[in-house]
Amino acid sequence: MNSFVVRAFADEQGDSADSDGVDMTKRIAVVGGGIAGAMVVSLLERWNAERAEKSALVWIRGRSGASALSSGVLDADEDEILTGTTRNIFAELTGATLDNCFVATDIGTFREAKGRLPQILLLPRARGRILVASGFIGFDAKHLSRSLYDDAKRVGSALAFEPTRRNLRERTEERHMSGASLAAAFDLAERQALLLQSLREELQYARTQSDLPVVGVLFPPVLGIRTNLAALLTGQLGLPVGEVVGGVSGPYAARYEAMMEPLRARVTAVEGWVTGCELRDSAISLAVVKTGEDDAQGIHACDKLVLATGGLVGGGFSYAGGQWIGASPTPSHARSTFRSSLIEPTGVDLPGSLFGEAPESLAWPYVSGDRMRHLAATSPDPSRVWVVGALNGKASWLSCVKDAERVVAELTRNP
Amino acid sequence: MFESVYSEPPGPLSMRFEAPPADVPTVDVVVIGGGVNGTGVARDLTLRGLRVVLFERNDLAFGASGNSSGMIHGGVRYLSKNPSVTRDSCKDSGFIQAIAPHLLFRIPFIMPVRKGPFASVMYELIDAYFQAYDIFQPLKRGKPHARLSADECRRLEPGLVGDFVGGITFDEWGVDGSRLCVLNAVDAKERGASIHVHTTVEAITREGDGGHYIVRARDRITGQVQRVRAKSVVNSTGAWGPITAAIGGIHTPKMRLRPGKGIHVAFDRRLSNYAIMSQAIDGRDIFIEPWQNMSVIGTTDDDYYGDLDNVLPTSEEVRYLVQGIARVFPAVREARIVTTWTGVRPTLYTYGKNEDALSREHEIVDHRESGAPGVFSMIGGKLASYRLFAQEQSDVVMSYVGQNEKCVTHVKPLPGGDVVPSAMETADAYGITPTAAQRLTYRHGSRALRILDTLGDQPDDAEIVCPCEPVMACEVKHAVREEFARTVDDVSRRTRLGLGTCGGMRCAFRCAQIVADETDVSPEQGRAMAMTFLERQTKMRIPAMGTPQARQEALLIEQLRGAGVRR
Repeated sequence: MNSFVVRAFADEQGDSADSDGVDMTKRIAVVGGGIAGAMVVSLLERWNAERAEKSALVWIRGRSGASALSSGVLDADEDEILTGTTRNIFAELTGATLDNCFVATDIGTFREAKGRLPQILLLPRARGRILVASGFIGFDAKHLSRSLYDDAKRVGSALAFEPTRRNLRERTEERHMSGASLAAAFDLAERQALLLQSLREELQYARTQSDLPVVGVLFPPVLGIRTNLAALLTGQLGLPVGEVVGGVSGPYAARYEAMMEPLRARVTAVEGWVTGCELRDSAISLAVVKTGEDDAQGIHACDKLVLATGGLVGGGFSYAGGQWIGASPTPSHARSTFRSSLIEPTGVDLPGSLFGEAPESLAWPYVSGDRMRHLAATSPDPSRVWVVGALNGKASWLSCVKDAERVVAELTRNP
Repeated sequence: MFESVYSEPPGPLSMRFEAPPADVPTVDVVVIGGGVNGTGVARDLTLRGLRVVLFERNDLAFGASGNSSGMIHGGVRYLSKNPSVTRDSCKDSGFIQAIAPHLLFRIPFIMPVRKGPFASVMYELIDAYFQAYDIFQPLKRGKPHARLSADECRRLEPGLVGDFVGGITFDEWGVDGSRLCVLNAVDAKERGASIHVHTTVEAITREGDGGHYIVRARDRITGQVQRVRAKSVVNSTGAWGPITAAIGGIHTPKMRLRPGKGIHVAFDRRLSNYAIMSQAIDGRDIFIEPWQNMSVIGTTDDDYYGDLDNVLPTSEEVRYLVQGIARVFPAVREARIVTTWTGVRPTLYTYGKNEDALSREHEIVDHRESGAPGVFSMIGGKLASYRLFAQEQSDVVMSYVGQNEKCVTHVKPLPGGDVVPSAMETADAYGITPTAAQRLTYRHGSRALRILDTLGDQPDDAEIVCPCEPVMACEVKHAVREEFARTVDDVSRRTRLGLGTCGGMRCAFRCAQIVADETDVSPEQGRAMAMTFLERQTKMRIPAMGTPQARQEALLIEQLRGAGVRR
């Protein structure tokens, strides 16, 4: 998550100090490593490629917040449809398939989505059996089969679910692995071969047990980090193999970072945290603390700035006032606890009290409609600074992508 | 001819006679309330040979018992006014240590004395006070107090700040109040009692001949209604006491309580190995204590008039406590709060006193005067004196039913309290992590081995369901099979599942799957259980969260949404 705190630079820091030689003279900086920032960068990259006169593009990213936790289903805040270049670039970046679909969740329900990342199993509409992989810790194939079978009826699906006869997690040491570690283990060719062999045997056995065709195999979120093992197995076995949509401890952050690697390699990317910015007539200065380099600090100057640092959900920026309400001394003035600041403070639009807004008045499950998700910042200078994605109140990936498309269109209108 | 048990108008209800229904099982005593007093009485009476049924409207330890400061203290505050109470408290603390040695842990306290007017005099007085307390300390295996210089205080706890005259140390014993209730209930069950949680008493009526009571109770999960005939009824429902009495048509001023809400704030780790006393802004004594694997600040004390089934903390209460502790131990400002808990003390009624000045004593109300002989209410009391209170109540019941067996609850170990296994040896023997073994043996004593033995047939039950605590699948199953758990919330109360940094986001649904399978309810009902638990935990956590926690909360919620969880 990037931290973006409103803090004016001290004058002595200068205008265009450049600690690592990154050339910012051509002037576009995108801050934020989530999907909104990545899409802005991707779209600008394409735009740049089509022009004779290039603009410099720098992508400053610390950590990716909410995007890295995305479990692979794609929703939209509204009925948003990606088309043309944006759709292609998004698919290329993420490997996503954009179609209305049903997927299975690890709590044993059907879930509707407008798209999915490649590891997620598209539940077929045809009648048939889905085998649910047994033997994975925390993934109770028997219970999930029952639960998904029940929920299938709710959505009018004729699918049946049954646990595999044997444990598909066969190695003892994997008993204590979960999440990203287990998924990473399945990146290994040797492990993949073992799984493929087990699946072949299991399918052979399953087909002797019933005339109802096997139409898919469902796994927990373990099918690789860098490898699209779901696609590999699907190709080898000739039937869909994929994952459920998992929960909090899944491998999603690792996958997201792997997904971003090609883009990071193609553009000028600075791994760091933006800790402040200042708008001057001549340029915009960004203070960046680099990660992994003993916190080296630098100042970058640019002409145009895109902030894709996530909202409250993404944790993308810090909040003015008491950093920790429980420990704050009695404040001298009324304020809103979650008041966000982005050069010009943007309040949460709730009345403050002597002690600040009570958090329970903001957050789920106290508040219906979930005000936490609707916090958004406004640009202090719409001709030079754009706010995109969750920071702009967009909650879903597809909405962030649409917002990125809008921002890039505006930004490139007068290059 | 029956007369109203309480004739003072305008009593809206009166105890009614009822014709004896057929096929109603008969027991000696119905205990209403699954807190520490109710389960303590159920155990005591069962040990004395009576047939007992216990009904609990919510879960065992749902109220004050499971939301206390978690201490079996020696009653130091009563020393000046009533030293016999202190002596009895210390003595009973010793008994509880003997019957549940696995469940108690020593909490050494530091009480720094700030410099100020008369501080030196105050320091001497406190020292003298604790010298008197030392007389009783051996009864509870307590160490004598020590008088420390300011430097010695800081050497013990470098995080202390402030200008001190010096400090005093003393020690008390910590306990998991929920486990204490559960163990009492389990022991009662194993000796023949029948325990019903999530079962609310809807009516208490007298049979036509006046000799017995018919207690009608409804299971709040299944809706099933049952009736039990009993010679005696014990109302041990804490702050719900007057409501329960009213269900029986009993309206008497003797049942008046002054319920006091107390909240505690829990941090994700032990911030100090010492409990540290401080004063809140209004001069009240508050403390931060190392408690199990976390630190806990306690407590507030405010009159409470709200819904007893839904007591929630507020951010104001959290700030009040944190501010008071930060004055001497500012590290709490940087620490991470993971949850709060909130209970309502069933304090005895007094008008005109501040909450802190109210008596923590207990009383047994005999409703004979209200026309309900054999019906008793336990009011007031505290966790530390539960066993003694239960003994006194059981003596009264035994006398009423004409029997004279003596109390043995002070010598008979609670389940698992016979031998405390070594956590390290247990870890080695069963191939589980030392942390999991340590937590399991803490909660279950020797019965931890019984739980782990089930791994022989079900090795996958070594699955860590809750990584924060940690809690294994075999323990979840044990909670359901042996400890009356019926929901995720119940499992959490018994195991502390879902109370760590992730707030149950990682384990609630997995736990719900196991509970649903074990209790034979549908997966959908299981998911509903998980959501109820998560909502409850979020409500307990949000008033205490700071900005980083707010971010994480939002991220976790977002991921639950991603997984398709809807409310």
